[in-house]
Amino acid sequence: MLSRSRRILSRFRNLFRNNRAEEELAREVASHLTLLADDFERRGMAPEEAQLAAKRAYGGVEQAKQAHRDERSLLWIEQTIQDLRYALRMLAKSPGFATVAILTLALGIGANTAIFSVVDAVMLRSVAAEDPQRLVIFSWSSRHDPKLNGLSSYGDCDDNTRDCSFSVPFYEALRSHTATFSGVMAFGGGLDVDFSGNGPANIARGEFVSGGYFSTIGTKTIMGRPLGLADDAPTASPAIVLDYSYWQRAFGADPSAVGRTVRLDNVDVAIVGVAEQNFTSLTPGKSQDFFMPLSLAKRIRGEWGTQDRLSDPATWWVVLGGRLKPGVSIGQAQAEATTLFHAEVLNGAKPIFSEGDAPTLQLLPAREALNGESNQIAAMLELIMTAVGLVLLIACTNVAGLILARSANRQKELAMVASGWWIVASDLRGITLRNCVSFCELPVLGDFLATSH
Amino acid sequence: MKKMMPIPILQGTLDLMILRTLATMGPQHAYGIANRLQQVSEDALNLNQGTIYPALVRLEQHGWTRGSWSKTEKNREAKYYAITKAGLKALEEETVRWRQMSGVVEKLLAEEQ
Repeated sequence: MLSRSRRILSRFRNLFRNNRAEEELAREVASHLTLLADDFERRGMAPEEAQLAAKRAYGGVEQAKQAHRDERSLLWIEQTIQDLRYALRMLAKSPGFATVAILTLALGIGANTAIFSVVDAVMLRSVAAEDPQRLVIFSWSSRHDPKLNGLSSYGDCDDNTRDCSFSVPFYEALRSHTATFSGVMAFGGGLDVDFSGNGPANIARGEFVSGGYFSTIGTKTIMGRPLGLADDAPTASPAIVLDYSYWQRAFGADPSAVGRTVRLDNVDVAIVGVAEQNFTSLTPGKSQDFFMPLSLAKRIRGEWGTQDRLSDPATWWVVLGGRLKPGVSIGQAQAEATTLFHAEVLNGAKPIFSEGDAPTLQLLPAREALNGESNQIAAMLELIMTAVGLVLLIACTNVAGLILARSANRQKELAMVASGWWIVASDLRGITLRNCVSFCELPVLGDFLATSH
Repeated sequence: MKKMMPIPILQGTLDLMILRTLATMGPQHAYGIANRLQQVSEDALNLNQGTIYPALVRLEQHGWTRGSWSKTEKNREAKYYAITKAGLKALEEETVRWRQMSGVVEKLLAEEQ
């Protein structure tokens, strides 16, 4: 009995280790043929002749290998298929039970899938950047409020102890002086603007991004080109890159969208590219319809007031990010950036802070810094997730109860086959498989319920 | 005397023969086993050497033999099969069973004549 179960176990292992077994078999057959040929040679044959004779004596090499393979794994698969058929037959025999069990579990799993997809999008998904470990976001804190003309944030960082809006001049100082970053970028938005030139005019949401945005994050375009440093120049002809899903939605995924000219508020801009599909926004849960260069902030004012937010050091509204150079630690980069920050806010032409405010700069990994609004809804999501988890648990308990009640009916059947361990084992496998079959149908149904919300 | 036609291997007997061979001769590679079977049977067995592989797999899966790679005297690599404790026990049981079986067959055949 023991050796029988061992054999089943080893066949099961062989299902997964087939390659190794195959290699070993080939090696063994080759060694066998060599030994045979050696013997023939010793009896006075020429080497080639001996090799041929060895093959003859061995019989078909391929047949032998096939027999080996069959012996390795066939039986197990056959029996599994048998049990699977049995499982389906038994389910079909009691459609009422099957329906109740499947629906109960589908409901539980559907609810979990739906909530989990939200949790995943908001809390778990890592930042959509290449090598996100080396992408950092700037944030500041101080003892007293800064003397600013304007301070805006667009829900990228949600934290009461620090702020991650900066001025465009600070971004430019950073860009031209940094030795620790291989790329720096600034972005702000999204802003709702009039979008016309593509069917009826409508409102679309655009994000202002600096020229280094795409290259620093490592985002590509599926068509056309991303925005680059050249687009930052005030004289550059205005260009935008469409978000993938907006391109699908508003342009019907038309490839000729790239190269078309549209109008944002009162500015004609050219569509130069479409961002890749798996990138929507650095900040989880945020999205926009298109990306526009920072330089357009002068001409597309949105809801903004009197100050020129591209040149005013006291208007803080962009989020800054940078990619660390290889071998540079976050601490080194922070030290360098702090020096630049203090030069700007304490000793600049128009000081924002006084020494007593103790302004400090902190660099955080993008994933940590850009939590969007997840902090506010995290607690609620956790609660809902726990609740639907309990619903699934209850559903499982109910189904387990149903199965138990039904098994009572099968006692006679089981008693009949209890004459041998092996038979019981195979029957148990049948029962388990049948339960597995019901479970396998469930994720499909669960998905269906989740997507039909 | 007419030359004897090689006889096909009786279902289920190959495992027993291999176990016996390993118990007598110590660890052997597949070629050694096949050679031994041919010698003992004085070429009466119709045995393609490749035929013994499924039996070798079976025995190893049962845990009755254990295979490991090493070198022959002539420095060729080969997989040597050794009989295990469980294998020795199985050999004993199978031998008894075979004796009973062949005894029955012999008896029947003797009565018929």
